[in-house]
Amino acid sequence: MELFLDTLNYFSLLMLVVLGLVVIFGLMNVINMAHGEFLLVGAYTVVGITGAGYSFWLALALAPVAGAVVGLLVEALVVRRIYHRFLDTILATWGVSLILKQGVILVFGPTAQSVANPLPGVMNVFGVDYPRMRLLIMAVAILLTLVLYIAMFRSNLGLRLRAVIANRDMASALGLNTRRMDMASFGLGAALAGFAGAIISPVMSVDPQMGAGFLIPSFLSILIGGVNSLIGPLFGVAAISGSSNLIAGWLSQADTQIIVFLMAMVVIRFFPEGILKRRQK
Amino acid sequence: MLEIRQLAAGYPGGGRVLDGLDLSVPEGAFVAVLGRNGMGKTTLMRAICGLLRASEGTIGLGGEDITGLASYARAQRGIGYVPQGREIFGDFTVAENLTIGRIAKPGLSPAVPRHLLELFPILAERSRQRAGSLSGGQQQQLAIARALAGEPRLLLLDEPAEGIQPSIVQEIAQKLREIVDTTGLTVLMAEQNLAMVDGWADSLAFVDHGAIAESGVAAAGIRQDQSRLSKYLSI
Amino acid sequence: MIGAKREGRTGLIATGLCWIILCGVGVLVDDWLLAQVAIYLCYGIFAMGLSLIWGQAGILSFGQAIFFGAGAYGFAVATLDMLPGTGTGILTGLVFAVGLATVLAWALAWLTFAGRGLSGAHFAIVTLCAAAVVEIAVTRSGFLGGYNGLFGVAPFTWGGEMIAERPMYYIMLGVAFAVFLGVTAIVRSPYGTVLEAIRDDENRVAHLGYETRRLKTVAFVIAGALSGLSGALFAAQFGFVSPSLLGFALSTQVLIWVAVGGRAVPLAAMVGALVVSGAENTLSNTLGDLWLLVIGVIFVVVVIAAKNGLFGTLFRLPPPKRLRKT
Ligand SMILES: Nc1ncnc2c1ncn2[C@@H]1O[C@H](COP(=O)(O)OP(=O)(O)OP(=O)(O)O)[C@@H](O)[C@H]1O
Ligand SMILES: [Mg+2]
Repeated sequence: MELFLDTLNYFSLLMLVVLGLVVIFGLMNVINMAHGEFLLVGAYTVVGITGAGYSFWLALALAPVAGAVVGLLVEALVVRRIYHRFLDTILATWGVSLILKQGVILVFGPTAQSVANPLPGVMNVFGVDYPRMRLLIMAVAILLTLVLYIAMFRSNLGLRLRAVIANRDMASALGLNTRRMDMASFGLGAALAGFAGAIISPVMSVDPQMGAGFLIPSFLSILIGGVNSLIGPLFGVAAISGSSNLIAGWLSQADTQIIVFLMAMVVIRFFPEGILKRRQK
Repeated sequence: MLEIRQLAAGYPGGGRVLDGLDLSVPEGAFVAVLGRNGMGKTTLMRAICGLLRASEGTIGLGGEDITGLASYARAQRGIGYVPQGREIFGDFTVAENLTIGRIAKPGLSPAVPRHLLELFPILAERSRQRAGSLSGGQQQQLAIARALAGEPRLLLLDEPAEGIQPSIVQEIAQKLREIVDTTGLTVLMAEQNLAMVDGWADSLAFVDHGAIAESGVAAAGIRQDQSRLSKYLSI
Repeated sequence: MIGAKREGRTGLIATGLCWIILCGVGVLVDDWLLAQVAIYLCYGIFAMGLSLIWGQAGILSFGQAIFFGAGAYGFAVATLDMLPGTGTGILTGLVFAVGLATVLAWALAWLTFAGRGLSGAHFAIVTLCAAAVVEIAVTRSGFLGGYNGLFGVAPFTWGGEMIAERPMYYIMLGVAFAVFLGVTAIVRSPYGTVLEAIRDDENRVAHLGYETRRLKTVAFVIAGALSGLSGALFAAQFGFVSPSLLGFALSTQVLIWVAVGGRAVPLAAMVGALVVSGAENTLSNTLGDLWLLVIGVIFVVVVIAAKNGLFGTLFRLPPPKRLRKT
């Protein structure tokens, strides 16, 4: 049971990070290397606001706003100029990640900060005492995934977004302002990242490298599952987090990382469009 | 309704395709543009709906100059577009394709009007099916219905008869005529298939090497007009 | 056309001047700085290898440091006599280093280009991931000194004596010049033209009947070998190798050098490496943490607005004769 909860815990953390990435990469086809630093924006919003004496929950509410603001700036200054140059978006957003990370270091310093746990104590689930904050994160991850799924596939706003993604020219000829849709989805992705960074900050050590650690696992999750829906990334996150936790039962964390990354690379090599895509056809 | 003056347009690196093109389409008319492959019909349609920028000339819609507007803004001012090759959203359901035609325009309710579904009963029947799994003729009807769902003033159609069996061509042509007659919609259609034109359109314009060579020709009886057919369509 | 010809001629003059200046540096600069510049020349060779695959063939690799590190570790392991039967010869070390990098590059190319091949984005992420895996693996390896790396790598010697800074600089300059000539020859050959076509539209080249996969593999392996060579030369001069030489950080650093210098022109890529690492060395003391911010901004601006980097236009050579219009 404990193993299951631990797996679910890592799954939830990764899923929270991946949600924003799905919007930006899966739907807009922009590989956003700065996604990890959008997390930082959220986490350091919490550091700043709780440091000034306000409550964690206020910070949690403001973090997505901060994420969206930074995301929209990045979109307007950088990404919108190179939407059509696919490889250059990778490089440019990586440059942005460098800038954001360095900005954080200049303001908050390079050392780790800790955020006080707003929900201390444990709760008994399935006969196991588990930290309440972690349980909250799990619930929020699952809820947010559901909400995003419904928003994307069951709402009119989602329909508009998907139309722009499926056929830009046609969507625009029907009357959709594609430029505004680009901004909306990039902003949404960044807001999700900001929120993720904020809510996981009490259970992680908040430091400038925090985002980088998530970068590879989250991209691998998306590539493994395929990006055509939310189910794909969900599957990818489950695969990465599940195998990580299973292997970590026997091996050290570093060895686990090596094995999981290698396995993921092999999967991507043989299923470049994601495992689920092939099965559907 | 539509006034085009000295329009020039082309593709990056491809030079001018349209040059000095003049065309006017009166309100409530059903005008067909005919021309051989590669003469610039699609280019003209894309230039009107704003997917291609005019390098010279002006395009007016209902008295307003729309030359500088982006394509979404033109759509919001009343241009509906049915592209060559249909370009429906193949992964969406039929119903979603129709809904997007409506919600793309601010101010329209998402519900697809009933008369549209009555006009295209096959779409109502298949509303939950993936649009990509419809037959070509059904997809063409969907593309037209999607454009009509946005309640346009001017409907642009690019070779709607392409790859469609003769009886369905007749059916589609008849429906278009019916809409023009009942709602006063203005239609500009690029075509090569005379069955889609003869007996249905009001007047014809012939496009040759990027300009209108002749316009205001009566559509009725075009099939007997050997000199024009050989001159403009090489038939 | 006249304008283009003149532009080509300034490129030729600038290229010649650049090498003359680099020769002059060997006379004018003090020993300490010369040793620094010699190390930057290693980076320059590394950068030219990347410019071959990225600038010419459009292959964006986030894992080039794997091969640089393989060369460095390969040289260290061989010359420290950690392998049975190799002795400690410098030449054996170099051969082993370049060989190791070549084999690794070939293996990675085989994995990623085979079959339908990976798209640009997938390739970038897979190479990124590979760099991370290799870095972690080496950090975990006791044989390779783990986190601390390997110390006491033998410097180049001549007749039993260590080669002094100045001759060492000229050796490095000679190697860099040879690599420059080689890469430039490849870029200007018919093969280079096909690589360029692959960059612009791989499918079209494949439809014309070229085996794009093999062509890309060859380029990738050459770049890997050059990275290995530069890594080995680096290890010999630096005297010590550590896991950071083969990870993500150096892989992205070389991307910055090449992007800022000018990805499609080998000499521009090399000068990019010299200038950026030189600037980093002098400015990071005065600017501190701001330096990374500055270089990040420059990098982003160059990627968005200056495809040819800062020096690409300056060092662009006239097109090869067979491509000139008459
Ligand atoms: N995307 C493009 N880029 C460059 N040139 C183009 C492009 N599309 C069309 N052209 C050129 O523009 C000219 C006119 O093409 P257009 O598609 O407008 O012709 P058309 O009359 O619609 O032909 P068809 O009957 O075959 O549909 C052609 O010479 C074509 O080669
Ligand atoms: Mg056409």
